Amino acid sequence: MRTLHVSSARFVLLIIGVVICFAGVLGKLWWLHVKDAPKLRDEATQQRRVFNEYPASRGQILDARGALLATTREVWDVGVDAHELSEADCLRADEIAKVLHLDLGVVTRSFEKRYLPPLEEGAPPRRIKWVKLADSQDAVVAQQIRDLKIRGVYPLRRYVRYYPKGQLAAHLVGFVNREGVATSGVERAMDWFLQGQRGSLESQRDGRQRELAHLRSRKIEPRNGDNVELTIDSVLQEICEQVMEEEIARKYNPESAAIIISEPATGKILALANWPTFNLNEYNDPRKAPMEAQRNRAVTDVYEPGSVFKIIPISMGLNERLVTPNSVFDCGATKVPYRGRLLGLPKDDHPIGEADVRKIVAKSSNRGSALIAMKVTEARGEQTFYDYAYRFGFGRPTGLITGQESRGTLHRPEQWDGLTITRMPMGHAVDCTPLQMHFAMATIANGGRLMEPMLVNRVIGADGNTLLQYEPKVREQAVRPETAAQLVEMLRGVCMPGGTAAGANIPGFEVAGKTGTSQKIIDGRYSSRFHVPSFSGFFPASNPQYVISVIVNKPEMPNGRIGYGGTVCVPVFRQLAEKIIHQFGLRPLPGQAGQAI
Amino acid sequence: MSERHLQPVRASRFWVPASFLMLFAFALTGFGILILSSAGAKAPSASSGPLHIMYAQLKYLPIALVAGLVAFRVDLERLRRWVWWIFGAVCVLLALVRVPGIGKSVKGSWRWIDLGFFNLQVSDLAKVALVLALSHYLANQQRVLRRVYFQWIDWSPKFPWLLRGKKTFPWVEPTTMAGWDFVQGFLFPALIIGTVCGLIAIEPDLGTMALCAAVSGVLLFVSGVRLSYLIPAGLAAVGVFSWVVYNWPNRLNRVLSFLDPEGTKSKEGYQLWQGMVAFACGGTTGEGLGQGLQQRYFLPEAHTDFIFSIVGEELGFVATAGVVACFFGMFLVVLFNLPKAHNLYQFNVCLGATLFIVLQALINMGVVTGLLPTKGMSLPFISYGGTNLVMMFVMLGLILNCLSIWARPPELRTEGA
Repeated sequence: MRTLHVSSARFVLLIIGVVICFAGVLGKLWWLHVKDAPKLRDEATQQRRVFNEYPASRGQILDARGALLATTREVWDVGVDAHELSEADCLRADEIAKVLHLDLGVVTRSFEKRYLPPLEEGAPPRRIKWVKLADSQDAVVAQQIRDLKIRGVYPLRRYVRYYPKGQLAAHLVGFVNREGVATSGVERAMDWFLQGQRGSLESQRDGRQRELAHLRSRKIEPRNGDNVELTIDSVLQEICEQVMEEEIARKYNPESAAIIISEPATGKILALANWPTFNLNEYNDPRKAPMEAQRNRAVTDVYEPGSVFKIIPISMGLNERLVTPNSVFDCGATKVPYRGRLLGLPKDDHPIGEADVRKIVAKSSNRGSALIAMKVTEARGEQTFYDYAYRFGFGRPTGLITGQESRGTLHRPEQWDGLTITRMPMGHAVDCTPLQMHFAMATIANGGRLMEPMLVNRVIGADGNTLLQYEPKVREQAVRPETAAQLVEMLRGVCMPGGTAAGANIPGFEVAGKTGTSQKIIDGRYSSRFHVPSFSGFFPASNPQYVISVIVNKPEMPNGRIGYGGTVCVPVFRQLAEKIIHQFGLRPLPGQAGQAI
Repeated sequence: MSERHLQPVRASRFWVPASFLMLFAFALTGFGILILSSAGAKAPSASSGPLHIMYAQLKYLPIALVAGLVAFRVDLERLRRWVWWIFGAVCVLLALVRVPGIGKSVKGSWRWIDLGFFNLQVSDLAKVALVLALSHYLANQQRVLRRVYFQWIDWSPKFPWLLRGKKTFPWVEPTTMAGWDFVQGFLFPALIIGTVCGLIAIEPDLGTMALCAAVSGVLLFVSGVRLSYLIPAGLAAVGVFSWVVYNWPNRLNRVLSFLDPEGTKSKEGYQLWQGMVAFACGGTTGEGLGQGLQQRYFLPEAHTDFIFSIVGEELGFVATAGVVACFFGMFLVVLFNLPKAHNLYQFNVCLGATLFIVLQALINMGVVTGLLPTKGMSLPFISYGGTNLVMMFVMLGLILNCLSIWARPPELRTEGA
C-alpha cells in the first residue's frame, strides 16, 4: 500500500502544472523550429549575407602619342557614422575639423545627426548611417583621418574621372557624369571597354563582421577598364583649338565653327575642334559649359555646303566621261534649255563668260557647275547626281564612332523642284555636317575612296597589350582614281594665283582645296547678311597627308562685308597648314620650293 | 502497512527507476559535452583551441560524479540532526561571498568563492541547504500545517440582544491556536526561504533567487501550507520582485524585451532574437554538428545560458525535443516513486531536488525560446560550467538516495526521536 504524505489534490495540481510547462516549451520549440522558421531564417540569411562590390578603375583615354586625355583619380569622401562614436571621441571633433579645414560647428552638428524623422506616423525613426563631412579629399587627408583612430569617422574611396587637358578635344573625348554614366563622346562610345568590370564578393559573415571564407559563394576580382588610344594628335588638336580661338572666335565671333584635320589615306581624324567649346572638368557648370557648347557641332549641326560641294558635280562629269578638264561651257548664259524647259541659272559673283572646267573650278562658277551637272543628268538621269552625292557620303552618317550624327539632307530626284538641278551643284538645296563635307573632300585626296572616319586607334588592355586594333575602312570607291587625280589637279588651281583660294598656297607643299560660301537661310529665305564661309583643302596634292576643313557659321564681318570662304577660312587654313609644317618639320617637295607665288 | 513488511525486498524497486534516471542524466551530460565541442569553439574563454571548453567540462565530470556519489550515500535521516548547522553555515557563506577578498566578483555580481582549484558558487550550496532545511522543518510541522484554524462558534448565549429571538448565529472566528499556527506553520518557513533568497538577491543573482523561491513555494504548497497564507504571500513576493525590477536601472527593458524580441532585436532583445533565429536555422533535423553559425559571435553566451539554441540550430527539433523528453522523463520517474516516500521529509527532499533540476531546465528553455523574460540560468547537465554539473549530480544523488531508501522497508522508529 502506498501512502502519499501530502494532499493528493495539491500533488496532482503540481503535476498538471509541470506537464503544462513542458507542453508549453515543446510547443514553442515546434513553433520556432518549424512553423515560424522561414521568417526567422530569412533574418539569419540577411544578417549573415555579405555582398561587397569593388569598383573597377575606369580606363584611360590617350591620344595617338600616348598623352592622357581622360584618366581616373582616387578621391576620398570623409564622413561620420554618429552611432559608432564613443563618448570620448565626441570630444575630439576639433581634431577632425582641423584636418578637414572645417568649422568646429559643422563637425559637432554632424555628430548629432543620428536619425531622420519617420516616413509615416508611428514608424520608427530612420537611422542615419553616414553623414558626409568633406568630399573629394586626397589620399593624404584620408590617411590623416585614419590616423585619428576615431571609430565612426572614416574615409570612403571613390573614383572620379579627370581630364588632364581640360577642354582639349572636349567634344570627342566626352565625359562621365556624376552618376558614373558615360554621357558623350568616346567615353560613351567606348564605355564597354573603358568601364571595366566591378568585382564582387558574395559570402557569409559571422557576428564580428568577419567573412566566413568557407561559406563564400562567389568572388570576382575587379577588372580595371581598358585604355583607349585615339587617332587624335593632341599637338595638332592644340594647334587647332588655339587657331580656332585666336583666328576665328576672337576675330569673327561666329555662332559656331569647326576645324577638322584628318589623314586622307586612312580616314584617321587627327584633330577636330568646335566652337563654342567647354572644359571637360566643368561639364556640370551651366555657366561655364552651357549645353550648346557641349554639342559636337561638327557632326550634329548641318549647313549648306555651298561651293565646296561643286567637287561632286564636277567629279561626276569627269567620272562619267561626259566632260574633260578641257570641256568648255558658256557661263555667260542666264537661261539654258533642260529637258525641253528653259531653266534660269544662278548668278555668278564674278562673271567669267566661256570657260573650261579648270577655270570653272578655279573661279568657283555657279553656272559652270550647274551646266556640268545638267549635262550629266540629261544624259544619265537625275538619279545619277543623287547617287554620286550619296557615294561621297552625303545624306548618310559618316559612321563616326561617337554617334549622335546628323545625316544631313540629300533629296531624292522625286523630291526635287524645277530649280534643284541648277542649285544643288553649287551646294544649295542640300545640307550636310562639316564632317560629311570634310570626308567628301578627303575622298578626292584619297584617289576617290571614301573612308570611314577613324577616331579610335586601338584598345589597350591594362597590361599594355593591344586588345583591339582598328583598321582603316573603305566605305566606297566614289569615283575612279583617275577622276580623283584630275580633280586634284583642278583643286590645285583653286589655290593658285587667279583661284578663289590663292592665299592658301604654300610654296612647295602643293596645297589644293575648294572654298565655299553659302548664305544662311533665315526665316525661310537666303540671307544676304549671314553666311557660312568654308574651305576644305589638303596637301601635298601629289601625296595628300592632311585634309583640313574650316567651317565658320555666321561670322560677324567688319563694315558689313560678306564673309567669303576665301577671306575668312583660307587664312585660317594657311595658318594651320604652316603650323603643321613647322611642327612636324615637313620638307617642301624637291624642285618646287619657291615655285608659284 | 503490514503487507509491505511481508513482501520480499526486490532489487528492481530501486534499480529500475535509478537506471532510468541515470540513463537520462548521463545522456544529457554526454550530449552536453558533445555539443560543447561545437558551441564552445568560439567562446571568449576558449583560450587554447576550439575544444578547450569541452575538455574543461570533461575535467569537471569526475568531481561531479564523486559529489553525486556522496549525496547518494549520505544518511538522510542522520543528516536531519545537522540540518540547522548546515543551513547556518551556508547563510554565513552567502554573507561572506559579498566580502571582498573572500568572494569573487564577475560583472558586478558576487557569487563565487575562489577555492583555488574551483570557483564555488555558494548559491548552489544554498539550494541543497534550503531543500534539506525546508523539508526537515515542514516534515516536523506537518501536524501544525494541517490544523483546522477556524471554527464555528455559537455567540448567541453571549449576545442575545443581537439575535432578536433567533436561537443560534453562525460566526467565524480564529481559534487561539491559529496565531501560533501562523507563526510556526507559515512565518518560520517563510523566514527560512526569505533568508536564503534575500542573501542571494543582494549578490545580486535574481535568477537563482527566483528559482529558489519557486521551488520553496512548490514545497510549501505541496506540504499543505494554507492557501490563505500562501497566495497573499506569493502575490506579495511577486509584487516586491516586480518593484525591485522596475526600479533597477535598465532592468525593466531587459525583462520586458522577451515580449517583443523582434522589435528590440538591436538592443535588449538581441540575445534572445539571435537564439530564436538559431532554432529556426536548425529546422527539423538541424544544420549538422559543428555547422551552426549562430555561435560565431552572433549569439552571446552560446556555450552557457543559450546552449539550447545551439542544440536547436545544429541538431534541430529532433534533438531539442529529445532534451525536453529527457527532463520530462526524469520528472516522471520521480513522480511514480514519490508515493513510496517513507515520510514527508524524504518526500520533500526528493521533490525539491527534482524541482531544482526540472524547474531550472524549464526556466532555461522557457527563456531561450522567448516564453519567459531573459534571465541568466544554465541548462542542467548541458550548459558549460563546473558548479552547474556538480550541483546537478548532487541533486541526482539526493534523488537516488531517496529512491534507495524507499526500496527498503521503512525502519521502525519513532518519528522525531
